Amino acid sequence: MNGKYETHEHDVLIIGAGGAGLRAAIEALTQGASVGVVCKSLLGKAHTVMAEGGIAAAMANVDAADDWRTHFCDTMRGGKCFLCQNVCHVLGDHGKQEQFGGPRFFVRVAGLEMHTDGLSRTGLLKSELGIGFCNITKCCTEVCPEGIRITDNAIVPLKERVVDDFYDPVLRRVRKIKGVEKGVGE
Amino acid sequence: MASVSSATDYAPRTSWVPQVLPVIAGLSVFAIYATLRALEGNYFQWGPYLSPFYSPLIDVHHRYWPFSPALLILAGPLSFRVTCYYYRKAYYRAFFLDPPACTVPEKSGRTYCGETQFPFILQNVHRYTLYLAVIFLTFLWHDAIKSFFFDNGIGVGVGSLVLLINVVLLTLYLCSCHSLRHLLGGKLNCFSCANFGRGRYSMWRRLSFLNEHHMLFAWISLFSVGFADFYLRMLSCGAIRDLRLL
Repeated sequence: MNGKYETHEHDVLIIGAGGAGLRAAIEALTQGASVGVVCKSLLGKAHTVMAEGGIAAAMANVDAADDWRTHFCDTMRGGKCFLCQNVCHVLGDHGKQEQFGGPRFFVRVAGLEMHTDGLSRTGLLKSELGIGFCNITKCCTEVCPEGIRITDNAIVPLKERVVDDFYDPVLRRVRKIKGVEKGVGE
Repeated sequence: MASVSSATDYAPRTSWVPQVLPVIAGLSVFAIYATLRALEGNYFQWGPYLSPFYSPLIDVHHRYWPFSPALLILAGPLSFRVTCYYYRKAYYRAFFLDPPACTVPEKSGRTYCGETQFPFILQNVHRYTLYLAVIFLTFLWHDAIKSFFFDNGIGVGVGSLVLLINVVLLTLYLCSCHSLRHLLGGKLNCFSCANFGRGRYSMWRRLSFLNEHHMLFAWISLFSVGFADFYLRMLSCGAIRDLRLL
């Protein structure tokens, strides 16, 4: 910054030059106010016309399923699903970022692990992703806007698979007798 | 650059006390009642009825074990509940405040190991406590059926229904267990490649449906098992009389 900026004074300052912002600007102007509009891009280059964007979501009169919840979920998806990571106490309060994957990644690994590719990810889950740090207090599930049952359908099934390979003495013995390596295939 | 912060920094400070109090109250009342009843060692039988706290009844005449026979067996069902994926969540939140509720910051300065170290690493034995629970449930079904056979023939008393409803609720609790769901189907990557894959798939589907209600079954079966014992206690000491329905 070299100090070359201007100062404007207005009665009303509007942030965002989409449909809602510009409509508000017009109304404020007709009421006799001095109006400033701040926008990141071109005037009207906005999400107003998107299926679930701004005004469409707010009015919810086009499609029954198209309301602010859908909009919120899409925004979260667009934000790469980080609510569960953010709410997790293992990461937030205990700072285990280095040792703990977190719910978002467990869902991803669960999708891969429950696949017929014949690879096992239980070792990865136990050591690098530190699934043992999760104490299944379920905040990730509670916060998920997509309603994914993260704890019951990803983390607990993965914990059980880790038990299969590392904490079940009978299965260990069975593997030894059969001569099967840990966690390979079925 | 802004420092790394978590959602808890911005979240509204929700009151967590009303969330944990019912859990603390429910579990404490049950624990105190169960302990007192287990130590009592009396008033657990009436007619064809047997209290679930004392089933299976071992060494009732104190030939080998001088204390209450309930102490010999209660560790079995207790271990199933203690290592249950739902109860773990409940008591980690309510008793260890780890976390007390979502978006409620915890006291810093504690070292946190989750379930990676002793003693909580032992939670991984949940499937073995499940095997134990299946054995206990078999005895309870036996008791429930036996409760319909009175001295003067087959009949239905209020106690028979109490024991039957209790064992049904306990069965639902056991069938909704996460470990059972894993063992019977969840551990497979490919149902069509496995032996009995089709059957296991439909079983897994049904268990998954029950599993969604695991918390509900955990609580109502806890209540029903306590109530069944309480009913037997009252009956056995003569405080109430069993109503014979049929």
